[in-house]
Amino acid sequence: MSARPLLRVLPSPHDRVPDVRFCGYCGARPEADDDRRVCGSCDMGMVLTASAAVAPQSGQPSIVIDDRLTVCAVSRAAEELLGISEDEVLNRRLVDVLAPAQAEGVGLDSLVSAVVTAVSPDSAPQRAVVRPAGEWGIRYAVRIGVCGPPRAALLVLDDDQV
Amino acid sequence: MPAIRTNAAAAMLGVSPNTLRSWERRFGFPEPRRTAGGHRQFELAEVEALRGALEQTHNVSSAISIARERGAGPATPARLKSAFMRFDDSEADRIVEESLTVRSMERTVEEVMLPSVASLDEDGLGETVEYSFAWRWSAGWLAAQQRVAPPASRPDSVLIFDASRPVDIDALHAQALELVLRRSGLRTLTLTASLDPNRLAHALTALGPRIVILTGRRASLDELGRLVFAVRRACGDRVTVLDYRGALSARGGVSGSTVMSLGEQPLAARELVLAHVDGRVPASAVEDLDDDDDGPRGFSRVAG
Repeated sequence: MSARPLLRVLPSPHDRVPDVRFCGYCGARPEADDDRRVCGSCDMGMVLTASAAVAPQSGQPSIVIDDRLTVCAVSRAAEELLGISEDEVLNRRLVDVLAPAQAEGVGLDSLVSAVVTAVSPDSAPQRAVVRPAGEWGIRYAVRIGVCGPPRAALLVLDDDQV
Repeated sequence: MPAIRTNAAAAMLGVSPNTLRSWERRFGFPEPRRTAGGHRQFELAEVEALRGALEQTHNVSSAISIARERGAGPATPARLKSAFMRFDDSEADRIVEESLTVRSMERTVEEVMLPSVASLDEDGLGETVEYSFAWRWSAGWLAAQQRVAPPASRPDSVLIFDASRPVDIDALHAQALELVLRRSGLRTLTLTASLDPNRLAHALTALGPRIVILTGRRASLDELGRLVFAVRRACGDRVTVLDYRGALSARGGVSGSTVMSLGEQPLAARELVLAHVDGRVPASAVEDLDDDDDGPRGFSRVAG
């Protein structure tokens, strides 16, 4: 029996992924009926909303940056992974914390471009490769999307993806 | 200074009393007084400041820094937005009243009210009940100010064709523009752009507009063209047609020749309208008008 070409319906890559709520500090996901702004699990993080495709999974490090590319929030997992404390990097530039991984062909332009694209309306999450600022030989894949409120860019480090 | 108990403060902030106590230990803020019986009493202003800051930031320590620095702070779009998010119309009234003590009404509208509603929209909340409440509260406030605006003191009239729909941010901008034009002494009338152009004659005869402004982005070029044609037929060539917030440019504009833009904000638009009325039109704009031989009459170029 000869093989016949088949047409198969595939989900569109642009189908809307549902939003999820999570704590920007501990990553806990509040109950659906819990609309508090501050995380009830850790008392220290704001509850943010982001696409499920971007939101950090349990224990994944994440950083929130604003439209000036300054750091607005750092998760506890990111503090531990990068050896920083949130208080010391708040309001500092993203590149003071994470630098583009030039070895992977990622320049500053492409990192900034990925952030800007990720937070523009209706755009899909972006990906880039970064390294901790001032360190070489360590690389993290990062997925970038929009979160809020207030609207900001969310960078989630997939530390096992590179 | 009014003070509240721990449970009330925690409820205002949407956290547990334990969270409030842990913030007090870690950050020293909000710092309660103690009653004679040893109970904590939080200053209401500090708690309100912190509530506002929590909504504007992404982490608790930033919010506490902000709240500590500014107290309740000046009337800002963020504070008004926060009041909208809580459906607190009394607080919204109070913030706008506070703003009016340090800003003109026009600046309050442009710098506080419109940005607060626009910010809800930009945060992706444009379809929510909170946005709807914010829009209707703002529309009601603008309408109330229009009713008490002084009577026209200038001989010239302005006709605004509004092609937005209720709850569009453009509809609020149209209302704001009408308010600032009225308050600058111009007789102003707003009509919806979906009206049959053949039925405009009475309004045009009664108003005799010197300026026609097209705003809102929900009318086709054809509909707008018919309106402009009807105005020109009734009022002649002395009418200047202007575009506020991209009524034409949002639709791609008219190739090579479109109406001059008034920009995106009501105060700048008012200055340009007054410049037209007073014959102080910028030279570049006049050149645009003079060079425009092939397009519809009176059309000049949209800036940007």
